[in-house]
Amino acid sequence: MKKFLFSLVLGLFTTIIFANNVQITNLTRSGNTISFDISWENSWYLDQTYHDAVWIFVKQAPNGGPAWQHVDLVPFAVGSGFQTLTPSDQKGIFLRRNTNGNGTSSTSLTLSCQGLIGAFQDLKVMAIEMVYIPEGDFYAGDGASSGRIAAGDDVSMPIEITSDGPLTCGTSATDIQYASGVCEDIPASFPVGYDAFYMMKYSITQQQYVDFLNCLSRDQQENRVLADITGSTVTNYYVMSDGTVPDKGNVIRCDVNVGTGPITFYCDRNNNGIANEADDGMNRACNYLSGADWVAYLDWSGLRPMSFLEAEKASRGPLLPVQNEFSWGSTLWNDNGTLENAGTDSEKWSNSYIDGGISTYDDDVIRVGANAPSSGASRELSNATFYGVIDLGNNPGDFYIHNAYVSTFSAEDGDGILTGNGAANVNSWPDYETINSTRIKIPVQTFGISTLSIALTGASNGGGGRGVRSNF
Amino acid sequence: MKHIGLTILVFFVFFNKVLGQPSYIYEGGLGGSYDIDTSIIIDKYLFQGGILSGYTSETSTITNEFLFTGGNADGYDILKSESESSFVFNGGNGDGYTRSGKSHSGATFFVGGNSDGYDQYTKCQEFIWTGTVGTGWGVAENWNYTIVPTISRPVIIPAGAPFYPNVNAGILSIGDNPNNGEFVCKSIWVQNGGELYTRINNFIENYGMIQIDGYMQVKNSAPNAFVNYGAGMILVTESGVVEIKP
Repeated sequence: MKKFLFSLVLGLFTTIIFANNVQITNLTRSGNTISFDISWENSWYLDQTYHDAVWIFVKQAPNGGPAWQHVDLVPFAVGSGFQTLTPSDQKGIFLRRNTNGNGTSSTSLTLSCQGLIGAFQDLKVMAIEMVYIPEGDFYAGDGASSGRIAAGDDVSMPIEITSDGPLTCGTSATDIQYASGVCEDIPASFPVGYDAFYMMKYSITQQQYVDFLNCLSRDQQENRVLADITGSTVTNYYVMSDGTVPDKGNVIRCDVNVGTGPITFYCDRNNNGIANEADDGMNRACNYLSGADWVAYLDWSGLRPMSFLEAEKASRGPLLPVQNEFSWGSTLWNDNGTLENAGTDSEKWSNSYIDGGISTYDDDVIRVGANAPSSGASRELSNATFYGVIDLGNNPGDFYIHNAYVSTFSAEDGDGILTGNGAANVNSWPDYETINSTRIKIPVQTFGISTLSIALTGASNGGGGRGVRSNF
Repeated sequence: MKHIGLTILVFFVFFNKVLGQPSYIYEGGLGGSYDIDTSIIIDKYLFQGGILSGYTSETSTITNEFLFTGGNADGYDILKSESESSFVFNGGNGDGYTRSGKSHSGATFFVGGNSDGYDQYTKCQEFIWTGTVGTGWGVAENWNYTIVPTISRPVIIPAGAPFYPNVNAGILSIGDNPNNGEFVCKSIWVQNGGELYTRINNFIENYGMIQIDGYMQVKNSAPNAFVNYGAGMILVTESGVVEIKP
């Protein structure tokens, strides 16, 4: 008997392909109404169960700034073949296809901006590709990974999550336990992953984080980067890695002379002082995030952190677990090769599209989606989850809410507003400004997606993340 | 067979624990223990026994779903499958539990492309010239928000204003302002019917975008009176006129 746990692997949706390259163009404004065209490649929609979408949110700078504030949105019109979903808090809208199909999605969208302030406003419209994770049963725990969740009667077995109800610690097959650590009952308020939610397809990119930083006040900025930027000059101007050259692929920097007002950050992979050139790495996943940086971005963008159970649901889908599997559904694990097309929108490893399961642990981050080929793709080649989330727990890693917070954390979304110091301030979220240790999924060969025992302290090169939303 | 019997027991327990769902099928076989000869099944999960002992199966045909088939020896293994649109686990002819490989029947899963899954578009509010109180660019009352444009502000000069801007001296910087020009904006759009005048002591440094659908007069014969730098662009459309005067 070689294995007690093994997998049933399925190929349900052979026609599904996965999205990238979202683009907003032709933005116009009339009063409180904005209209724009939006497109994204390789989108899909299959009987609603499987689809992708775009999360759109807007920031305003009353009287031209420098302060930026969140704008509530109400959809006004959308092109044929698409639909919008408006959460009750109106912090953004989801846009998706509404009929079966795949390929490039392209439509026009008109939104009504609520609560505009000042004589005039500058506006920033952000769009993030998301993947739908449908409601349904799934298995949590893989029977092998460190600290994993397990069935109460057998720590080598997964537990099947069959409702959004509470879970109790105990010794029956429907109870929960963990391979290590203290077990605490999970109340119904904790997102166990059964209910549907959307997850960011990719990790937060460096351009995404730059755009976030550039909407903050100076006090807020100072707490969202690692370097000391409190003075009018900055010594370690690669502010995320706290150095004078890019480190581990992080290329976010500012000028040396920054004055006293809000700083303008940019990407500069080649350290020539010219912002955002075509090979400056804007599309790379953002590392050197701390847990506090992660939740600050999510609060600001109207999203929320994923729970440890949602991470497993998004990764495994309805499949049976594979011992020590990564988010691409197997234990395939390969070191990255050499970097090609450095910093460009086609950046990849020399073994991308060839080896599959390419881990970037402890190496440079790379363009998000760099391992997904344009044809002949598979979960392993693309580092994709069952539903099409790319590099979950990889490039660099993915923070998540772990089982120590089951009694306090809930599916409360960010409201777009941070504290004056740039901290997330959603009541039910852990206060990572003081906790300073955040659990993370990282593709170390011996730690699969079910591992619950890896944590990072502060901001380090392995720290990255993405957001989810279940209110839509 | 004592070893095989243990194997069977373990699998039976496992299946019932992990796979005990209504749509799954467990089938017995023709010989001893737990097996089956052949099966054709559509739209279901499938577990099949074999023709000897233990948990095996000889053949199966399956469409659109999961597949596990046993083999022709003993224990749990797989001999052959014919499958469409499914992943397949294939075993061998030995014993115990084996898995010799798996294959994806769909080659277009999880396709990627260039760039990433994020975009941002900034829409800076334009300042519109009203010319309410005169020709002065630096006079707040001549602009729609009664604020003089900054370097981040797109400027529109429309038709029908009582006065049009006259920039008589200093530097008018568009798009960037490295030489500390006194008059600045991000871009200028002189609409059809609109007018913009720069005079003998004024110098224009353009790093941004100037679009002339209306009329622009530059009255300065100095060689550096109107200079386009770097990525700066000047667009004079069919209705536009730019007049350079000494």
